[in-house]
Formats: sequence, C-alpha cells, structure tokens
Amino acid sequence: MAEKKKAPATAKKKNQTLEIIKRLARNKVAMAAGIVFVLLFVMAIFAPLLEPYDYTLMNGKLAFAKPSLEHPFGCDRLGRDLMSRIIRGSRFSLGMGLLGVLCSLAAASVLGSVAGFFGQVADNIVMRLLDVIQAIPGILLTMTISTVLGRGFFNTVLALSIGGIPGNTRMLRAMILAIRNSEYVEAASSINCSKARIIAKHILPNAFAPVLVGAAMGIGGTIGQASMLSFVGLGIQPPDPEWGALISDGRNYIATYPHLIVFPGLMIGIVSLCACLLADGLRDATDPKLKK
Amino acid sequence: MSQNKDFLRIEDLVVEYTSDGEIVQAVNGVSLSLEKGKTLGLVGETGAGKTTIAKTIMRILPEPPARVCRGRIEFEDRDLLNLPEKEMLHIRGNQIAMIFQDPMTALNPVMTVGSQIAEVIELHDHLSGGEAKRKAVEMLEMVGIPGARYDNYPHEFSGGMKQRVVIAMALACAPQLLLADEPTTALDVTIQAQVLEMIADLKKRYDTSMILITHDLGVVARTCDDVAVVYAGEIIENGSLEDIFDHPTHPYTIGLFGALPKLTGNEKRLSPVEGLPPDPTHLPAGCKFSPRCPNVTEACRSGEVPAYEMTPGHFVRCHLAANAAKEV
Amino acid sequence: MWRYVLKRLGMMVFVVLGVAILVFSLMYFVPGDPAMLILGSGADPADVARLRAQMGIDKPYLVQLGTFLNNLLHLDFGVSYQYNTPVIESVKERLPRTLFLSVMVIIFQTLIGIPLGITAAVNAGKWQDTFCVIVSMIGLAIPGFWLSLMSIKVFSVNLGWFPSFGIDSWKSYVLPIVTMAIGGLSMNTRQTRAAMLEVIRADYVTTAKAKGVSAHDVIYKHALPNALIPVITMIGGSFGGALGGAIIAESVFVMPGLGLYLTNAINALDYAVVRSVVVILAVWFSMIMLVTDLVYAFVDPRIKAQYTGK
Repeated sequence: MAEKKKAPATAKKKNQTLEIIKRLARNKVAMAAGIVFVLLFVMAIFAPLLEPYDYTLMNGKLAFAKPSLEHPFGCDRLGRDLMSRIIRGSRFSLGMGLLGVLCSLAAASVLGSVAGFFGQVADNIVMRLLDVIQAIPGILLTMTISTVLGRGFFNTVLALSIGGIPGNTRMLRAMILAIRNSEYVEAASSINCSKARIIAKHILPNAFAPVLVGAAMGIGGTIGQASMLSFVGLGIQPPDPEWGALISDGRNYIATYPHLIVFPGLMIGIVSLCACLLADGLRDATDPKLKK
Repeated sequence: MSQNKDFLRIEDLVVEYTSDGEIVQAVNGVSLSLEKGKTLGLVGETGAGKTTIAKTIMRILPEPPARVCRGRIEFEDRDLLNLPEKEMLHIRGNQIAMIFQDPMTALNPVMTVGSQIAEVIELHDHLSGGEAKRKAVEMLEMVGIPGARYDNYPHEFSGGMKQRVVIAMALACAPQLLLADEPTTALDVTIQAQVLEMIADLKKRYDTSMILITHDLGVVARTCDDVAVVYAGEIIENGSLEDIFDHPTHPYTIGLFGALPKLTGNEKRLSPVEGLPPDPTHLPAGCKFSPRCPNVTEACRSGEVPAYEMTPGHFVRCHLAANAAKEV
Repeated sequence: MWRYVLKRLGMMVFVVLGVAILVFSLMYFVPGDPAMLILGSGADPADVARLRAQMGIDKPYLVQLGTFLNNLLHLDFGVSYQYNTPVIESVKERLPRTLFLSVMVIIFQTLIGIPLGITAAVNAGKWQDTFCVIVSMIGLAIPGFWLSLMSIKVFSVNLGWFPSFGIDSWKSYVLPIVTMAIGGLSMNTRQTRAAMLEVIRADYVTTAKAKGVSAHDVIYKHALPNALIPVITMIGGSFGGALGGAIIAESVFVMPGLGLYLTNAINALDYAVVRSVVVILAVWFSMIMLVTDLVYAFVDPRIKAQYTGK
C-alpha cells in the first residue's frame, strides 16, 4: 500500500512525447483519420501495383462508361479506367501537397527565425516584405507565380510553397518571439545556457508541435489549391491524372457523366478531411492547456 | 428562524471533476457553518478545493466537467443546491457575492468599469440606468477610486485598483454573504493590507458575513473569527481563531504553523510540511494526510477518520486527537 | 485616432507600390516574348523588333518598371493583346461584378458561419455542437470549385432551379455565392466556436455569472463581444479567400467578371492583363484590410488606447 501511494508523484515525470502519442491514440476519430491518411500515401507509393488497369490504356468502346463491377469508378471520355487514373493521380496530388507544405515550412522557418532572432532590422525587412506579399490574396498569388513558373510538377510545388510562405512565416515568427520572450528561456539563459543549447533544448521542442499541426492542416489545403490550379489551366494538365486535372478534364461532361467529377472531387475531400481531423487531434494532444 | 441560527450551513458536500477521463475528487464531504456577521477563514494549499467550495455555494461551477455529487447547502433556510436557476439569479451578486483571486482577468476588458458595477445594481436593485450609474459612482468612490473614472476600461487600471473595482462590484448590493477567494494573493504586499482593511471596513458597514479563502495565515489571524483548514478536499480541523492558532491539533495544521517564521522565536530553520499534496485522482485510503504525517499509525491508512470535538466547536479529523478529545 | 488612420493610409501606399513592383518583376521573368506571341511564331524578325520597340519591352528593366508605375498612376493599365482593348475599360466593366460576388460571399458566410459557431460553443458537447463541428469540417475539406460543379449538376441540370452560367438575373448569383461561401463559412464557424469556447472559460465570464447575470446575458453581453474581436480580423482576412473564390466561380459559371478575365488571360499569356488585374485586386484587398484594422482598433478599447495616445 505504501508503495502505491508514492506512484502518482513519480508518474508525473512521464515522457512527454509518449504522453502526446498516448493522448492521440485515445482520440479515435483522429486515429482513424490518421490511418486513412497513411493508407492513402501507401496507395500513392505503390500506385503501379494497385492500379487495376493501365492508367493510360484507352478503349473507345468504354468511353464515358458508368461505374460498374469491372470499372468501379467508370471510365473517362477516352475509355481509360478512372479508378486507375485516380490511384496514379494520388502521386501527383499527395506528392504536391506534402512537398508543397514541407518546402513552404522550410523556407518559412528560415525567414521566421531570421525575423524572430536577429533583431529589429532583419525583422522589419522580412515583415514589410510579407506585408507586400500578403496584400495579394493567397490564391491569386499562387496563380500569379504559377503563371510565371509555368506548368509541371515541380514548378507547381514551388508555386504552392511560395504561396504558403507568408502565412507560415508569420506563424513561426510569432511563435519564436513568444517562446524567446518566455520565462523559461530567460531562466535558461540566466543559468548561462549557450544560445545553441537554448535553441535545441528549449525553443525547438516547444515550436515543434504547433508546426506539426500546421503542416498537417496545410496538406489538405495545399492539395485543394493544387487541384484548383490544374482546374484553371495551370498546375498539372491532362493527360497527367492529377485529381484537379481529372475534374478539369471532365467538367464539360458534368450534365451527362457526373462520375468523371464526383470521384476525383471526393478523393480531394477525403484527403483534406483526414488531414484536418488529424491536425485537430494533434493539436488537442499537444496543447497542454486543453488538459484541464 | 432565530437570529443565532447559522445562516449558512454546508453538509457533507462532495464535488468531483472529470478530467481526461479521470475523476478528480475536489471536495470530499465538507461540512461547515457560518454565523451571521462572522468571518470564516478557509485555509489550505493550492488545489485543496477551497475555490471549488466557494463556487459551489454560488452554483457557478462549470458543469460539466464539475459535478456536485451529494450534500446540502443551506442559506437562510433555503436549500441552494436545489433552488431553481431563476431564484439563484436573485441570490448571486445580491445576497451572496464573490471576490475573485485574480483582478487582472476578473473584469470584462471591453466594458467600462463603471458599467460593470452598474450592471449588478441594475440587476438586483431594479434602478433606472441613471440611478444605477449614480450608485455605481458612489461605490467607486467608496473603494477609493474617483468617480470620474467611471468610463475607464479595466486596462487603464493597476492591479490594486482593479481589485477595488471587483470589491465595489461585489458589495454594490450589500450582500449578506461575501465569498472572498484569495482577494489579495495577486497584489503587492503594500496594497494587500489596504485592500484587506477596506474589505473589513465595508463588511462592518454592511454587516456582511464572509468566507475568506486564503493560504496566508497572517491574513487569517487579522481578519477571521473562525478558521477551517482544508486538505485534499476535506476539512481536517476547524474551530475558532483561538482554537486553531493557540491549540492546533491536526498534524497538518501544526505543520502549517511550523512553516511560518516567528518574530519572537529564535529557531534556526523553518520546518516545512514534508511531501506533496496527494494526487486528487488517486486519493489515499483512510486519512488523506497519512502519507505525509509524521505520526502516522496503521489505523490511519484505512477507513474514514471521524471528526473529534476537542473543545466545544473545535473539531479535528485525526485519530491522534481521539485520546485528547476523550480526556476533555 | 486620425493620426493612426493617416499612418495606416501611408503604409498602404507603400504596400501597394511594393505589390506593383513585385508583380511587375515577377511577370518580367515570364518565359516567352510578348511581341512574338502577338505576331505568331512565324513572324518576320524585323516586325517583331519594331513591335518590341513600340511596346517598350526592348528597354532595360528599370526603365520598363518606371514606365509601368507611371502608367499605373495615371490608371493606364496597357492594352490586352487578346481583345486589343485597353485593360482599364474591361476592368471598369468587370470589377464591380467580382467585388459584388466576393462581398456577397463574405456576407453570406459571416451571417451563417458566426451564428453557427456561437450555437456550437454555447451547446459545447451536445448534438448541436457535434453537428456544427462535423459539417464545418466537411465544408472545409471540400474544394469550392468541385462543389460549384456539383451544384450545377444538381440544381441547374437536374432540378433546373438556377442557371448554370452567365449573369442574367439574381438567380445566376445564387449557386456561385453559396458554393464559394461554404469554405469560408466553415472556417468562420470553427474560429467563432474556438473563440467563444476560450472566452466562455475566461474569469470575467465567471465574474458576470457571480453577479447574477442570466445565462443568456452572460453569453451575449459578456462573452460574445470579446469573442467577436478576433472574429472581426478573421472576416477581413477572409476577403482574400472570397476574392479567390469569386475568381474561380467566374471561371466555373462563366460570369464575365475580373476573375474570368484573369483566368482567360493566364491561358492566353496576355500578361498585361494578368499584371493589372493582380495589382488592382491587391489594392482592393489592402483597402479592405485597412478598414478591418480600423474597425478592430475601434471595438477593442485596449487597442484603441494605443493609438489615441491615452
């Protein structure tokens, strides 16, 4: 009995990461969304093995075929199996979403740290630059950059990530400033912690969680933006089966063959939804304030 | 309905919180009583359940996560816990008022301080806007703030001034019972004394009874008639100020006084109470203080500890007190 | 207060100048020769050179930039090679439609999103909350242009309630506004809910309760005004999204606004148009943000005090 009573006091010192994972695991919705999310990426990686048909194979007889047992999502205007095209297209959509967010966050963390760490002048320059960039509404900025860079996978990733830089930089800068001015960092520097140590031990771990949440949240939005770029004629263009390109390809047949649009759109929706749910779950699990 | 009857009586109050799927036992069978015009000090460590008791009296606990499991709160022969919310509205701010711990966050940042005071007057005294405003200005001046500052916003005030506003707000309708939840903790020491004095003055003027929640024994000594020591959601010792200060009996109470420096004494070290308060999600069986108690016995670790009456009105929840109580 | 307004106006001038320089510089590096585009790839090099000189694009970057800015100042946005008409004329005709569309989107998403968010927060944990959370999550996930296409299928093609393209009557605006507002509406709901939940937990709300203020007044008199402060910024910020939505909606519903003008120009490599439209929309966006900031400063006494010099 006596030992049992001591347990709670030591239990408080549990590993924080473990604690976060445990809390996330208890959130069934977030876990389900996370699993679907991971499965979608697995699908993208093994796309060639999973496609029931060759995604480029045309079959005139099957043009505009409605969904059936052989072709669960039906066929497009050239008789290509839509399911295979969507599976292959996940490589474009998910790839652009993931890469776009990662590049954007990488660039933003450089800019955000410069602004947050290196005093007034650097901060002013970065912030005024962001003021200018953010005066252009987000989608418009991405469209403009995409126009300049041209179509194609990597150009679009670049356009998407540049479009995301201002928002992410602001978020990171605000966070770095908040952490830098916090009392625990002051405490650390008062006991002569080196700058490098403060950054590694105090700032990064505290900045990591919100960035992770932001990234999860951003993937859904970025995939949506990518598909929109394709839709207005930028981004990835047919015959590449990016999901937005598939929608764009089928838009003229919406009245008669809606399946051409329904399925790719649902895929975008499902990915965004999972990303959103996962991000929400992560935020709840990492925000100690919500424990109470 | 005699005048002498306790006008506030709490019996066997149990309040739980649900947090992260675990149940936190915040208040475990608290019984209290308060006579008209008297001041009761609720003393205890942070997290002992003092604020929860006060909020339960006001019925302003957030439910959920909080839940009042059992107990009775009688205020002027009314059963507060079973009163319809509509009647409760007439009691809150009117007959029972509360002063909160942190004046920095207790005022609405987008309303002028004057209108926040006038609001409570309008609600309960049924005055017109102009009259309520006049009375609110009066209240401001009574707590030492120029009436001209009626239209200022909370951010234009210092912490001490804000607490004065909060006090003015609490006393605006001359409540019979004032619940002061650590009214001075967030203030500078120099201002603490002023604020306490002011509360005492105003209390006398309106013949208000008060429950003062604090962990500052010095404050208790200056202001209270009765004292109840709270530990892990239980009252482990209660009695008159003299009972507690001159004859502390429970090992925890003794420990609390041991942790105070004495101006007259010449002890070399203060003796803190060893250990930490128990995890409220897993309270120890038996006496809640037993894991930290220097005089713990086997009997302490199982079963409920009853309250023993040492001298009339001085109750102690400790087996060790049993012998002494019998001797009396 | 006036000093603050002037200061913000001054800042806006610089931001707009920055945007103009940025957009011009970006478009300067667009691959391809505009003169060649106009004349076709088989054109006589001498003709191309003459046109380049005529368009001024043989001059150095800085000279071109100067000319561009000077022209902007005189509201001269150049000529669309596609339609061979001055850009300013098309803008005059089309801008009001796009602004109307985006303002309607804002109004719609605000008027529905904020009450939904409040309802959800007030009923936290109950079915109303769950409903709002799920619906707003789905609304956020679904791409607007896809929703527009689906609405055409259901409400135009199948039910015949609304036209699928053009701007013939008020009916033409229903589908674009509703479908493009869904995303922002969901965002508004989520953020209002979050802001309300945070404020409801605040100490001053407990103070209000302790004063005997009724549950209804606690929420609408004490909590809501505080929760609305961040929500106001959000409404201003969502104008960017609404403008973007309008651009896409015009493309889906073939509405002759600035957005359709822009997307057509992008596909036709009509860079004079792209450049001008982006700058014009950015100016509008900046103005809306300025108004938002001023409103924000006006409603929050803490911020107001900073600028009135109290």
